[in-house]
Amino acid sequence: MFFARVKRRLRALLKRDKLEQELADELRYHLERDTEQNLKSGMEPDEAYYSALKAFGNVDLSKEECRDARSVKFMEDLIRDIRYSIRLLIKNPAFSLVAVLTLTLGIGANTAIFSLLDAVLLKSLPVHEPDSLVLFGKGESGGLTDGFPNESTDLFSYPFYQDLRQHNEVFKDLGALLSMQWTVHGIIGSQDAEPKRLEVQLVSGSYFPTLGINAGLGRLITDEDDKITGMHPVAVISDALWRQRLSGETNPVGSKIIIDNTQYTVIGVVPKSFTGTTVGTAPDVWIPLAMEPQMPPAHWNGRNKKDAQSLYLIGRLKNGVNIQQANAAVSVAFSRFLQDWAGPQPSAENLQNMQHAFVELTPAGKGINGIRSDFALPLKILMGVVGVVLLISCANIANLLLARAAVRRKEIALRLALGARRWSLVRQLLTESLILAAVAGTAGVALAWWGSQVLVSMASDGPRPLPLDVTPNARILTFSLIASVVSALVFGATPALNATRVDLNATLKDGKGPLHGNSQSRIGKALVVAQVALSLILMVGAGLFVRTLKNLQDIPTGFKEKNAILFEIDTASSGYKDAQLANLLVEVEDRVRRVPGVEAAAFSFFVFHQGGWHSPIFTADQTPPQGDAIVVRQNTVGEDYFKAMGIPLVSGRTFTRQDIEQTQKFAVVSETMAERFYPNTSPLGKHFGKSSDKLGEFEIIGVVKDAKYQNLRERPRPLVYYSMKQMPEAATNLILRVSADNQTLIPAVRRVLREVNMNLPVDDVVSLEDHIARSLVQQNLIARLASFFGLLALLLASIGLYGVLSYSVARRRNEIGIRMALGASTYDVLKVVLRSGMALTVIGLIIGVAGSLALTRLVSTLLFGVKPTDVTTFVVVSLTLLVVALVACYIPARRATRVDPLIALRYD
Amino acid sequence: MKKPKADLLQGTLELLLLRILRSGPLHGWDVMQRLQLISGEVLSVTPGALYPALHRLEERELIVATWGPSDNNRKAKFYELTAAGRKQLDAQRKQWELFSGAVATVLRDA
Repeated sequence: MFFARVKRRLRALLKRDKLEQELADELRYHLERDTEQNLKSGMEPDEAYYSALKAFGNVDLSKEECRDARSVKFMEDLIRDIRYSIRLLIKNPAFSLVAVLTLTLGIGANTAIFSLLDAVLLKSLPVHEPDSLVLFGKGESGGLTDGFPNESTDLFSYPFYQDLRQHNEVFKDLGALLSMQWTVHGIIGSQDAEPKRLEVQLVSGSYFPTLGINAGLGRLITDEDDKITGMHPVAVISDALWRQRLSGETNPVGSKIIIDNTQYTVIGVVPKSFTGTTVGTAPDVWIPLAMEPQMPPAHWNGRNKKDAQSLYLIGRLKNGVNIQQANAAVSVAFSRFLQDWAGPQPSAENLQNMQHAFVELTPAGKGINGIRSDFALPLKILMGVVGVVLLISCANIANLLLARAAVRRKEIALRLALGARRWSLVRQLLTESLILAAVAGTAGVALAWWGSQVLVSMASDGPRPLPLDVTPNARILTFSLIASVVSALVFGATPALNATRVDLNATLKDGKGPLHGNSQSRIGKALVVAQVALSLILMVGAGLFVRTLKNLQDIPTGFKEKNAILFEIDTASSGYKDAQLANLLVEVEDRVRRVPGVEAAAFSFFVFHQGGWHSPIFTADQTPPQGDAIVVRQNTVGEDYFKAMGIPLVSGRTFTRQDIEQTQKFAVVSETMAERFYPNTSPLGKHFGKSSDKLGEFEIIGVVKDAKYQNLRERPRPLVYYSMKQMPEAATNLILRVSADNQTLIPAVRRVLREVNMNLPVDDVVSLEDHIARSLVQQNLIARLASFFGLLALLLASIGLYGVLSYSVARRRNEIGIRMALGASTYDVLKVVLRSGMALTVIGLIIGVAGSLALTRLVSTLLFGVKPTDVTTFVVVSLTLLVVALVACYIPARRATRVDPLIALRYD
Repeated sequence: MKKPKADLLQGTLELLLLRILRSGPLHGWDVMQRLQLISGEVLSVTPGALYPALHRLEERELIVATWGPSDNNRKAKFYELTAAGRKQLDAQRKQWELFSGAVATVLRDA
């Protein structure tokens, strides 16, 4: 029965011609039988036929009513509308092409930005019931801190995690992960000879069970793999690592990975969809937290230290427990833990700290913050920007459709006069719009597929693109579909309704009857005003972002950016320690320094924009009070560091080769540190220590100028440099100061590195200038995209202006002809047209300025060194817009002056 | 020549068509003839109303159509009741009897 129905309906749709033939046959048969009967009753043949026809009534109407009986009538109409629309669109290739291109750009841009927004803000973790996962804190800071908590806390110690896990009523389970990933180099599988780069995520045994995911292959880490410090060399690998680097192994379980002399056995692979829990990161390997002391570069061991706070905690709420209830329970446990830590007689400072310390639980179903807080606002703003661009392109297409409807006015009037229902005409016109939108939507998704990859690489602050999955998914496709349909309705509805509201009498009489109250040109003008206003707002925004970027780039960094190259070398995975490591670093520095073109070469623990190391120091002097800890930024550097970075010496000396033979350890401090700690005396020769019982550990031998470390906007902070020779650290940055040309130099340095040690993996080679630019990746992204879309908006608006004026000139040929015949000069005509165009522009400009003043406040947190109401930006943007508008108006105006009065008057 | 004719009540055409088709497959022209004949030329239907009505019944799967040779050996479209059509006929017939009986009672006794 069901199949019979489907078959009949399909037949109705696909064999429409046959069905029509049958209908005609059926009715003809009836007429013939009637005619025969009439003949029998003695009529003449002609009379018999006409009498039958008369008895039948209106044959075509009957046919239409029979067709109406079909349930596929709606589909039939639709197919007819679509065919008709496609024919029309093909007949007007210029219009169709312009409309589709504009709309493709609009929908493509929206889909691309939305893809990024989806990956950063909307996507849920591919785990069991993500909504019942909560994170302790906001996940905004990462790393390790040993300070007593005194504010909203993001990082927790292993003892707290264990304590809470054993005594809790609100969580089904609690998982811990190190708040950052270690980038190491390891030898993977059996074929690899050279160490390869690996992103390692250390996790507790409860991490995977808390998330509730199953292994794609083998098994995942459990509590059994996380019991005794250093005793569980097992690893779970990502699907990508398995496929890309262990491709030879059909079953990677049992393969070996060697990192810093420790051999890990692969026990399983995570499911393909799982790429970690932190937004914008993708670990290659998960290793039990118990192995932390073996993990380079830092070899932390926080297993039993209450003050080693470096973990993120993720809890899965018990059924029926909400986040507030859980938060209350956690707060109690946290303050009990802090009391225990502070001891029975806590210092006044810790009492104060305890009052301000708290934990805020946040939903973790969409992953831990990561890059989210950096990109949320820029992405939302860009989403708004591309939304406006789409509106502007819709306005353009609406204007094109309005102009075209005017051409088809006579056809539409004729169809209405012949009895077509207005709704069916509107439907046909809307179908046309929907087809345009469908073509553009499909092309837009393709464009976005490519565009979102470009966006990801633009948003990445290193040589590797951010691991964000932006391939189209159901949500993204739904978004594009909605964007397309809404656009079609936005640009199609007004022209369709307007076109079918015609004065039949006047239109049919001379083919040029006025459109309903001349509303078509009024709507057209309103659209142009809106376009001008919107594009002005976008350009003002772009202007503000560009000035922000410029201001940031102009901030002095404190070092010489030009002619310096940064080699990122992983010396930590070499397996060398202490004196051996120190010798290796010195040898590399010495050998590299001898490469022609290299003026200075030095390792350093940190350079700009790599995070930081903040730790308390204790001084033996009066300010700050003796014995009190002051947290300062610290760095360990090679002897050539200040020369290589171009940080000038203020007083004293910097490190030398001979320091290594001294038992006294030396330190160089920044100018701010000198001013802050020794306001009225020279810091040279003063001592401080890393703990209160070693106040004489370091002697200050020199003062250097301040330099930026975290970001360009930071204020100068006290900073201490230690000598790498005296305190060997696994440094990752080799900085070279070079004479101008450095193209041939990089391979030479690489060769030298390989000669010194086969196992020194070079990750990235970048000029210091580019490295600094990477710290501005968000500002760069938003400034470039806002400028691009601002200019695109301006282009679209001027096309709109041009179109409306051209159309009005074409319509007013007659009037212009008369004016010229009556003696108007070329200049007069030019003035009339220009004035009407510029009037629209100025109205749009005023609305746009008002709109910008209201809106730019929303982006003030993203601006630097420029006010949201920056006069220069407003003036420059307004002038640019006026000039472009003038050009757009001049072309049709010029055409108007070429109207030949004779031809114009004769034509009508 | 002119005979008094009753206008078909809304919905009754469907009932009559189903009843006429009950006796076997017929094409449109025959259906019309038979309606006129049986009702003693009181009830009649124009082709303009008949064919859309037949198509609607076909769409609702109360009748099915097949093409076959007619009495004078030309191809004609024959309509035939389906099981569903038969059920529908019984139901509508009962309703009609109830309705017409009630109307008759009111006309007689009121």
